[in-house]
Amino acid sequence: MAECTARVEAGQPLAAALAGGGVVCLGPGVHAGSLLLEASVTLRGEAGAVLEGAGGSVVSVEGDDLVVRIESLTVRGGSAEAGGAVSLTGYSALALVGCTIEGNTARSRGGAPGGGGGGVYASRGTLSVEGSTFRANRATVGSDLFVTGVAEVTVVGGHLGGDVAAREGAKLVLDGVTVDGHLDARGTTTRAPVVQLKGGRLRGGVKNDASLPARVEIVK
Amino acid sequence: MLQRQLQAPARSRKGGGDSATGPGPDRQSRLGNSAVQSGLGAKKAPEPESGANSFPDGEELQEAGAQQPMRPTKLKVGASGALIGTGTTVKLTKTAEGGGRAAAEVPDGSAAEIRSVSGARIKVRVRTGEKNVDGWVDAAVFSDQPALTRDEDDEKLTDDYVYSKLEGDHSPVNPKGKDTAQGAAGNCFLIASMAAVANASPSAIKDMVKYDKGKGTYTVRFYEEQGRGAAKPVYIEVDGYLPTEKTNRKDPSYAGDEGGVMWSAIIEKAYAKWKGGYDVIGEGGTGEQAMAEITGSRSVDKRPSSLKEAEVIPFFQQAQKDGKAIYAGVKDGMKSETQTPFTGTGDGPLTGKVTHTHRWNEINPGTVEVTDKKGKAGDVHDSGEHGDKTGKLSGTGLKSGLVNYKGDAKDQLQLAYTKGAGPAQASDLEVTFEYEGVLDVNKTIIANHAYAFEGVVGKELQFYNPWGTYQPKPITPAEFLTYFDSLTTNTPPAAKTQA
Repeated sequence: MAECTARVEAGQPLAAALAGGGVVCLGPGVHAGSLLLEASVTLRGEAGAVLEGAGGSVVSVEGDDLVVRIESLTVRGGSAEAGGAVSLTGYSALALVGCTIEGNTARSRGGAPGGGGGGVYASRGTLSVEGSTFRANRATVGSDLFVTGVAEVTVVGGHLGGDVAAREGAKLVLDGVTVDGHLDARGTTTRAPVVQLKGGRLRGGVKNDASLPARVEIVK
Repeated sequence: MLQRQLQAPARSRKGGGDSATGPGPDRQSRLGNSAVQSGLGAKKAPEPESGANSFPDGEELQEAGAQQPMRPTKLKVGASGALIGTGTTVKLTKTAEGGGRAAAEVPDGSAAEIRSVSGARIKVRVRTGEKNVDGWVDAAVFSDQPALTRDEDDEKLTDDYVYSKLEGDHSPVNPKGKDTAQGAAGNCFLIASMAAVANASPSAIKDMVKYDKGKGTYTVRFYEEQGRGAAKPVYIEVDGYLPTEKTNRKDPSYAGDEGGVMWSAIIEKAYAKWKGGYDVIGEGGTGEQAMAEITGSRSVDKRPSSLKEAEVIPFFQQAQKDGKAIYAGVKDGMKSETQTPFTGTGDGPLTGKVTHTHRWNEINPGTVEVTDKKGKAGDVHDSGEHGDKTGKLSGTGLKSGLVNYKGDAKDQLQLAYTKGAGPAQASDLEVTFEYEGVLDVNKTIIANHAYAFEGVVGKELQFYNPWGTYQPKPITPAEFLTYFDSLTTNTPPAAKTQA
């Protein structure tokens, strides 16, 4: 594991440390979120480190060609149009490893109680989620995870207490994951998402749209 | 924000503020130039992905014909549409063979979903009154139409609208943001995106719709992002039938106003058909995606919180100068002033009613906090979630507690403490909460709502409410930073048609 190149105590500003890239370690306690990451960086939480929303997604990656890794952090209290905790809308690589994503909300513009991805939203780039726990996230669709556009998303292990949604031309692999909710899948008249289910449990089953279905593959 | 949820009065054409359009758009940031250039502006149009019409240049329009509603090429169980063809009513029979007693008789244009197919007969599910009824009809009356939104009071039902024909050509001619008017679908993200693009580049809107007079259909071009720097045009064909009110079949239920400019309703219908129904696009979406799908250019998000107050006006002025469409979203709630609404004695029951600054306003569940300013009683908070009508209040020393988020009765808040745990006086209890509805009554800023930017007026910003009414007054940079939490720009393509 790479050494910390910067360490930030709770309550201290993160922006300067993040701009420098490298491995930024967050000390125990609550750190103010709503971070737009514009450089490749690893954010590593020490025991008890929390990144908390302050309006908008707690962490956003909108740029291209970034490599971002978030390790061992609790990400909570975000509220955004899409992706309350984490939003990936750039052609970048984002990894969430050993994180807890809890108590985040997506609320769409339009009056519906929530947009897509109370926890995590990805529309471009590649997202990998490993050994992470999602709980108490809220949205109309995909309370924990909403993948759409051309995003390629892999979730390995871990536990999702809510729902997952796949739309448009996204690719989603759920590998050995326990999902308490359901998978909500729908394409458009011009494309369909592809979802691979490898082991794990999907307690709420698959809600695949009858008219515009996704391609859902169960891999033994 | 969905207008209906706030029980706003009937829509009217009351656009406020001055419109402002930017100079010529910038071609540079447009996605997928190679793909895009093979679309509208090219001599040879690409094959449409949807199977619908492409836009060949110099196309000879056909003479007006029968202009029948669009029929599906294949009858598919689960498909949504409408029963159109008789002009009066459509009878559903109890058996596939027909005859016997009718299962139901519904107005021509009623929304329907195919349940099964038997030769030239189909079993459909329709709404009659407050329930669904299944019955058989000739497949020939089934028209391919986007599914309607769901009834707020009963998710099993569609909203009670009927498809009615909009006569004539309603393609955009000289489109302006002010032409748009959101209806009963929760899709302000889409309508505000159309308005923002129309304000920045009318030709971008004008070029995306083509009317076929012979067929009475519109082909609407959107863009679908394929990957980095690549967006391909997608052509969606729709007819001129639109969901309308049953009691007034000239009053569109979704985008557009009776007698108004209707291009936004045509684009909305095509978008709904592409995405799977009005119900699907009523789930909400993002301006970032919708503007990109309209223009083919990738949108750019800017966090309002990243701007200093002095930077706000220059940001908007520069974006407008660069020909960018600008979309902005309002926060979903604001924290109330501290209130002391409780009456009663001792440990209770104590009751109280909070006051709001506007009749549309409601408490956001999960945000109520009650504290004793003298510190005797313990802190109390609620555990409600979005969509709840009532919630439980809990806290140290509290025996029972209830909050009615939407109510305005005297006992909207109810507290009862265990013996000796209550406040010295009821008026010691202070309440705060987050509220939704109208965040600024004087400026008419609606929570959780998207707006299209129109222009800078003096030292203030003028936005357009895509409802087409309840237009905000110009706001200061400080007010913008207070109320708005999203800001997205998009550079429409260079114009083919000068609007």
